Amino acid sequence: MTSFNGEAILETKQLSKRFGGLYAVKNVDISIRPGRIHGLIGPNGSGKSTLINVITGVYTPTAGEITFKNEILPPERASVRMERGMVRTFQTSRLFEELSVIENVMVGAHCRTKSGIIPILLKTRGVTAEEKNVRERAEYWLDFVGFEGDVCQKAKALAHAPRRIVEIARALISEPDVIFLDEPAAGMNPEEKLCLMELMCRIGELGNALVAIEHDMKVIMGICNIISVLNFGTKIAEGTPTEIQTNKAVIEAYLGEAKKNA
Amino acid sequence: MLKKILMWGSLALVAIVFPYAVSSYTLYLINLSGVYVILVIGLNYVFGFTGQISLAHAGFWGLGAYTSALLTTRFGFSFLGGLVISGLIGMAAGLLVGLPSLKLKGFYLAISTYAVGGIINLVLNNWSSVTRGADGIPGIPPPQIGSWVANTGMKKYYLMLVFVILVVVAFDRLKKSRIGRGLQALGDNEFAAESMGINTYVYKLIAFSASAICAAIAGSLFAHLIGYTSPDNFTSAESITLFCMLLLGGVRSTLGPVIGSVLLVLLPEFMRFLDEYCMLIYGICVVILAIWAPEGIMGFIGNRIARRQVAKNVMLSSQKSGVSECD
Repeated sequence: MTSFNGEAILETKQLSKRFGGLYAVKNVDISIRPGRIHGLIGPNGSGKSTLINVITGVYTPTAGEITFKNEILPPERASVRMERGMVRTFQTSRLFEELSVIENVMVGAHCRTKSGIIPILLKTRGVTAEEKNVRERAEYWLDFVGFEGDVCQKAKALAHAPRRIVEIARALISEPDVIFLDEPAAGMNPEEKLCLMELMCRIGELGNALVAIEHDMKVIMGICNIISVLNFGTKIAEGTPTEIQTNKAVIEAYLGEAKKNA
Repeated sequence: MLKKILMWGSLALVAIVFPYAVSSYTLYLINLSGVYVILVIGLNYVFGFTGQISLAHAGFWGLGAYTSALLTTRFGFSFLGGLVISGLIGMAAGLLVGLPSLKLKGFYLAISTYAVGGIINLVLNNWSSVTRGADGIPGIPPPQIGSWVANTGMKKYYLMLVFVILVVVAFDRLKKSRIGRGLQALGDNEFAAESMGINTYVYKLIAFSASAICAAIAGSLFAHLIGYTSPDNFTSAESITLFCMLLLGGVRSTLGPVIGSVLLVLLPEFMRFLDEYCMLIYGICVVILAIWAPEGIMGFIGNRIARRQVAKNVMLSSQKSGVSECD
């Protein structure tokens, strides 16, 4: 992990993504700093997931630029972005169902390992050592996220909450500089949410930047250092949780009109 | 550890003594099923791992067989030389056919690869000046390595055994490596695989070329085993048979293709005394397997073992907690 003390590690400038005539993301400026938990909220369809998809290379932006580690990123494959050090989880869990839990996490280390086809076929010492190392790291991160249970079972056998944290472990093993969590708390019960919040804080302490899309306000207000609010693809507010809770535009976006005082 | 040595030792012993115990015709069938094992393992890379449907497989097989046949009968190449060049041509063909898979999915990919298989077959049938058309190429010499000539069924058996073991071990090592995990991740969830740093374009092409190399090598061995190749052997119907073998044995498993191929080559032969009822019973067997073991024979066994493992782990977890090796 590179250290960017206090400076933004990831910045978007006037970033836009248009689908046909519809702007899913429009002129968004956002700056992500390491060591902070950055919340990204907004009503359904406000462009939060699209923003992450554009930043992580799933979509190419219609306009604007993305600066990562002081470098303006060219249009490139999502796998290349991941190798650069930005990694994500998904709104609906996307584990590799037929692989075991530990293999799922080991896939996350793919771009940090090097064994080529010929050494693998010959099963050289280097390959065996790398494999052992990756397995140990996978065990470490599974332990870090608090996964309990059989790591050898297939991912399709897991319940909802364990699936989510295995996904987080799979993202963390690549030692990313920025990690995006897309609605990590969705579908969790209050107890699981508490565990998740505690986990997110620990991830924030690792020194990398954490960006979380979340609908659960308890989670967002509880742990975020800074929150950006999107509505209809544009950023309508940014600030600390208390600032956001009292922001008029935000309340209007969520409730329609400002009747309630926070 | 001792248990493992005993198991592999006895398996090796059976494999070595086996040809002495069966008739020469059965041995011929076993050798033939060796060819199918290599073919189906190849299919396992592309269909088992990445979930891409390739019906061009019989085409690659034919390509390998004809390359070897022509090189050895016309240009005086040695058996191994022809085999290596077949493999390389197979790889090139696999890459070429893999290209549409970057854009096409599911049935559309199935249809386009089916067409490729059909085209290869048509070329073999009609490019008479090179392939001798429907007459096929006779007089392919038996496999020869140095001064050792595999001219009897038994010698061919040992040769096939070596090749099958090489291909199976290669598959197993790849499967348990970062590349194998990448391929399987791609098959399970392409979007997530790409986001986890796996270049899905490259990996699809790896899968297609690995699969075509296997098919071409199988073709080369087939040509030298039978001594004769004709376009009839490499029709698209064969591609479907290969899918049956893979599904029967167990998709993604290492031993599944071995079991599926041997069963589907031997079963019809052993039921030949039933005459016209043979295909009926064969069909019923396939249906029964499809209902009771939809994940194939190895999948069925794997589930059983997993269930027992879970029960065992539940019992053990009260005593100690620790991470154990999988498998």
